[in-house]
Amino acid sequence: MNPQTLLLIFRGVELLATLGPLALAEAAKIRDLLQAPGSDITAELKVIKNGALAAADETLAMIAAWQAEQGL
Amino acid sequence: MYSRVARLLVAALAVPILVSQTACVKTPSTGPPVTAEYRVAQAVAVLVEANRTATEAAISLNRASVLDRGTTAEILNYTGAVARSAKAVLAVLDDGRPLEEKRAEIRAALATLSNAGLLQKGGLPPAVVTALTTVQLLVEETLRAVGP
Repeated sequence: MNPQTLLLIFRGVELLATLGPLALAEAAKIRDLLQAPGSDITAELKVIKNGALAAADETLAMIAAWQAEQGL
Repeated sequence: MYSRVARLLVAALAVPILVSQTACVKTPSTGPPVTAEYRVAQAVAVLVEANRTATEAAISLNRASVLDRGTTAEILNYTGAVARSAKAVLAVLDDGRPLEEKRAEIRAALATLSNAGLLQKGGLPPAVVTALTTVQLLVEETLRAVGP
């Protein structure tokens, strides 16, 4: 094996060693979000409703701004 | 640039790790069951997001002189009606009564929404047709979530 190939393998191993733990931490975070024990469905529902309300209000604001721009 | 690539690599590594962990450890769901009201709220949330995208697309295409003022106004009339109906549905969902007592009200708020006339006129850019079709399908999906 030539030195360049060895260096490439070394870099690959180094990259995996750096990113591996980060990836594990990310995976754990996502898993915790998906499997949050006893997650409060009422609170979740409120978040969904508030998000939807905000999106509907933003849409109406965008329309009003366009209409004002057009002099309608 | 490097940090962006690193983040992508982390994400790319995280997904298979998550999948493999989920596959190995079978954890029973501990959360409470999802209610019918929750499903309706979720459907409305998806609907308003798609509707906002359709609105943004119409306004952008008008500014780029792809859509004329009249057609844009028609599209925004429809997306405005969808946004107002969604707000009405959210207000009804929030009034504290059980869903069984308010299904008819929710259905009434959504039933009049239709963009069939707009789509039948033709001449709309494919992106707008797709966006409007998606919104109408999501209106129907929300009606299905509400139930009869």
